[in-house]
Amino acid sequence: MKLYRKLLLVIVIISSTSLWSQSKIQKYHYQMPLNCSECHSCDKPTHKDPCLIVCPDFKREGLTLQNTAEEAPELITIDKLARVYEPSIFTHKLHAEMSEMSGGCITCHHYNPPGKVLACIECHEPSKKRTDISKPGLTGAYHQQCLSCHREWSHKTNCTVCHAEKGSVHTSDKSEFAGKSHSRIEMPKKLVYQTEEEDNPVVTFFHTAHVEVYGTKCTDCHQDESCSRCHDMVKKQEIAEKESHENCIKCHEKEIDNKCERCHDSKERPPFTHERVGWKLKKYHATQNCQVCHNETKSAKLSKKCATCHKNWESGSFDHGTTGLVLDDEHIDLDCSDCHINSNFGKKPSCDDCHEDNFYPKMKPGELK
Amino acid sequence: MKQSRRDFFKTAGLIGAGASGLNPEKAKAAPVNIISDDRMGVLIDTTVCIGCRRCEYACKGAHDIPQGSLQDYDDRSVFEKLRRPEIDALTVVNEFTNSKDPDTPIDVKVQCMHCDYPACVSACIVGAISKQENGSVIWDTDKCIGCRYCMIACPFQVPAFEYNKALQPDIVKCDFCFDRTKDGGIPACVEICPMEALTYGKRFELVKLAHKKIANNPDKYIDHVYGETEVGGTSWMYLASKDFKELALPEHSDEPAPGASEALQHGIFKYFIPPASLFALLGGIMWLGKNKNESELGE
Amino acid sequence: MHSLMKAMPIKRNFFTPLTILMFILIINGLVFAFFRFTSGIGSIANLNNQFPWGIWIGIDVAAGVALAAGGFTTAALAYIFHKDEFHDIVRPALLTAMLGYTFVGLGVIFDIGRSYYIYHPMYMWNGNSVMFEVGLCVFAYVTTLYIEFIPIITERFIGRVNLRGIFSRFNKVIETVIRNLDRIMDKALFFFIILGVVLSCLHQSSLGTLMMIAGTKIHPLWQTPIAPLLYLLSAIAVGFPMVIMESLISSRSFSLKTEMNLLSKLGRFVGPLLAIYLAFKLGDMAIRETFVYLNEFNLVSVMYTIEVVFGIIIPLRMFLWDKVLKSPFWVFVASNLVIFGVLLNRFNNFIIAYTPLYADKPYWPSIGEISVTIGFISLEILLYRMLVMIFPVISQPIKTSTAKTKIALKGVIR
Repeated sequence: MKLYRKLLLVIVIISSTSLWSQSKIQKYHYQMPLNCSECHSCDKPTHKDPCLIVCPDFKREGLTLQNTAEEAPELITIDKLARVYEPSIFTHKLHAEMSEMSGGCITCHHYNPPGKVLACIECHEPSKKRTDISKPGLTGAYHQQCLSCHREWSHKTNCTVCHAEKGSVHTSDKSEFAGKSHSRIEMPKKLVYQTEEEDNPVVTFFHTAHVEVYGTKCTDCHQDESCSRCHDMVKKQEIAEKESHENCIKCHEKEIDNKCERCHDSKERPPFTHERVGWKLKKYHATQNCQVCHNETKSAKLSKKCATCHKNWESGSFDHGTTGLVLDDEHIDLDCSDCHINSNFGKKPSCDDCHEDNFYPKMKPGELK
Repeated sequence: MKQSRRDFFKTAGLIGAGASGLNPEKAKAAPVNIISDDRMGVLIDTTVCIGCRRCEYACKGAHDIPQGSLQDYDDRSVFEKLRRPEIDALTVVNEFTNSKDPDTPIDVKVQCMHCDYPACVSACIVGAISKQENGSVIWDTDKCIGCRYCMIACPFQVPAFEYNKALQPDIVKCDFCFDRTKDGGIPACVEICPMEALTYGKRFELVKLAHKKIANNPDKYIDHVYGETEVGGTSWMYLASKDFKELALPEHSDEPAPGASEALQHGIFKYFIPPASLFALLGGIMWLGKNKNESELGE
Repeated sequence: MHSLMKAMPIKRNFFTPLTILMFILIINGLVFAFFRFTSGIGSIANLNNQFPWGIWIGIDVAAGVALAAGGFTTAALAYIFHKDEFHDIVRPALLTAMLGYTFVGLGVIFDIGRSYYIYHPMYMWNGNSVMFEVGLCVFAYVTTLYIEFIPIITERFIGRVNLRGIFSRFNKVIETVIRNLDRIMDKALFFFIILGVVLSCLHQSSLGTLMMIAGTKIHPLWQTPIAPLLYLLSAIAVGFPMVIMESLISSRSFSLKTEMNLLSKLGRFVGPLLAIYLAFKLGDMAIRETFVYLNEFNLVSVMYTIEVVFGIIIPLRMFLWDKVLKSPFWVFVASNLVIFGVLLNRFNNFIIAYTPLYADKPYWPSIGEISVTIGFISLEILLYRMLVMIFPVISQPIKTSTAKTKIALKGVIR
């Protein structure tokens, strides 16, 4: 009995470990299906001599996919180089949240192999006298990371912006920094732009609709957003004016070329509804992204005929159940056009050929799902 | 129809060589001018520099020049006008507008370029200036007579002079922190640079690094490593996001700066043959004329 | 005719209103010199890191060397080419050259920061340095000039050594020494004369190489690979006009008879020499196509035009004109134009053509620099006047025809 229990325990442990290892990401990136030579120049890279080729960031996309800002450590005390100044307290989580608008984790953790997120010091030497000049030392790594944004953001390069003078504060007290988080980036429902267009200066942009209905990805328009882009109000306006057409042109090229009135109006516009084009979307169609029907090949106006999109719908092969009505045994063998006159599926079906009076929609040729 | 410098040197070289009848060759008395394969250099990435001027601070400290307080260097109003290395500032940072991104102006540190073929070394009348094995161009102040010919010669207009000293006025310029580097240290400016916009290393490795950086970021950098070939190559080199001309770095050909004048000089003085022949020629004329005169008198 | 001439000290009153003015100018220069040596060059000169060289180098040194070229050209003409009729003008030319080079040296002493290290290049050599070569050549040439001047001194004192008081016992020794010196010089003079000409050719040309190392900082109108040749040719061309100018001035100043016959003969050489200089200068311009810079109207093009038109072309035409050569006034004007042209060439090459990379304002000589330069020139003129009063330099017609002695032919190679 005891032996049995022990055996069971072992089996449980082994199976759970193997299950865990399958469900979680692997600990080391060499266990992953990656091509070593994409990043390493030698056959056997070691921790000490990784012989890295400086490779573009996109190869390490995995990092952001596997890690989220939620998991990020909240505060990191940078004290490796504290000589002249007190250690800096870096609001790591806050920055991780902010980075979500641009590159995510790899904005800073660049050249990080997929898997474990490495601290700067893992690659960057703390010594000022570098043995490997191909990458900056630790001081350079820190400052280049921080200042490339902060410089733009605050226009200041003073040391004291980030560093406290030695002895001026007690750095053990982190309460000032704890618990901070970036306010949730909220998506505006609509944006109304006043443009310089004379007759129709107002452009109403439905932000939510673009994301939720039209399926535009955030990064389609927002690429490499920096803090100042959102927080520097003057700049924000300038960018909006400069880039509006640039952002829209990807989808609205024709309109920008010669149909200004498609976007520009004299007053604010109501949101778009499919009803306006004469076909109110219901049920299944209402839940779909525009692109499902209006894809690249069939962009603007589509015929109302089902076969325009549903090309494989033929009598015999069509499962009427997808419309929500499962045909009963009597009706299932009929030809489509027997009820749908002239195969006009938009119109009410007619039962007159077989049944008297108005059967439909009082009576149905089957069962509603 | 601007005459190119290259043409100029070609002609000059020809004349120099022609005058000597031999190829120009280094004179015995030439000062130290070592071009070691392992010479050191610095690569300045101006796209990384933030203009914090810590290098100016550290440089003064390393050269016994009064530094003032570190906070003084946060004053960005000094960028309003173009500054040059001075007797009390061996390196200075200048700031230029960045048309691509007005929020991040371009900062360019200026100091002696430590040429591989330094015009100052060639020019110095007493041979006080020398190119050391580690790449530094330094000078022996005990030899200097204060003639300032090195300032005339310098293709980057770097050396400064202590005009207001009556006794022992000196030429002053960046010495690549020779006192530190000769014992394996690193230059003070490189050490302090928080952004590590300055990379200190062997010159040939820096050249490779520079080209790798350009290849990896073709949008960020212009495809030119300033100092790689200018005036025959310099120990200090620059990377930038815009044309170096707009960053107050002069356009130069690849010809070593002292080229033509040295060629001419050695042409005229080749083993003292030309002067000696001139002496013999004049003596001959004089002697012939004298005989003629005497024979006339005799008649 | 020259056999009736003899170099003699001139007996005139040293002080005239002009010499007094010059004294004032010298004192003015001395005041600035005081500050230069007590508070540094910067205290009186407009020199800075962009413009390290000003008129002390451009005029005192570069032009000074060129304008002292009369010494070697005349010596070459009279001794090497045996044009014996010119012997009478050798001594004034020699004195001018000697003084000229002495003041070049003084100019250098003023200009270099550590004047007390002026001897450094003697044993700290840099064979690559053009300046080293110029410096050493100039030093050697000054020495040569002083040696060439020895016979004039010995001539003055042979048989006249007469120290008083306790020094009288040395009279005999000194007399013996200078007599021996005179005898040695008599034999060795030819060597020093040739040496002087060789050294002159070397450094006059090297002076042209001096600014070549500045590369693109020198305007292409002057930055030419044949600069050494142009410098040598212009130095040779300016030598005789300098002698003519001095001779005319001193004969006027001392109320002597002008030797127009001799000066016209000398003047005949100037035309062809200038023509060669002009030919090379214009040929160089044509080959390098630098004439395009003359289309622009700016300081550089104007200065170049003045230099060539007034300094070469006009005097060239004048020197080829018999009327000019025979008229003391016009030959004086023509000579001065040549001198002006060469001086301007040196000034242009060293100052106008030099454009530093980061100058925020152009160079303009300060009062101090100008005062020192004018002081130097005044001092040089006064010293010349003084020396020709002490030593037998300027030839004058001798009243008695019995004076054709050994001493009268002193300095002539036999």
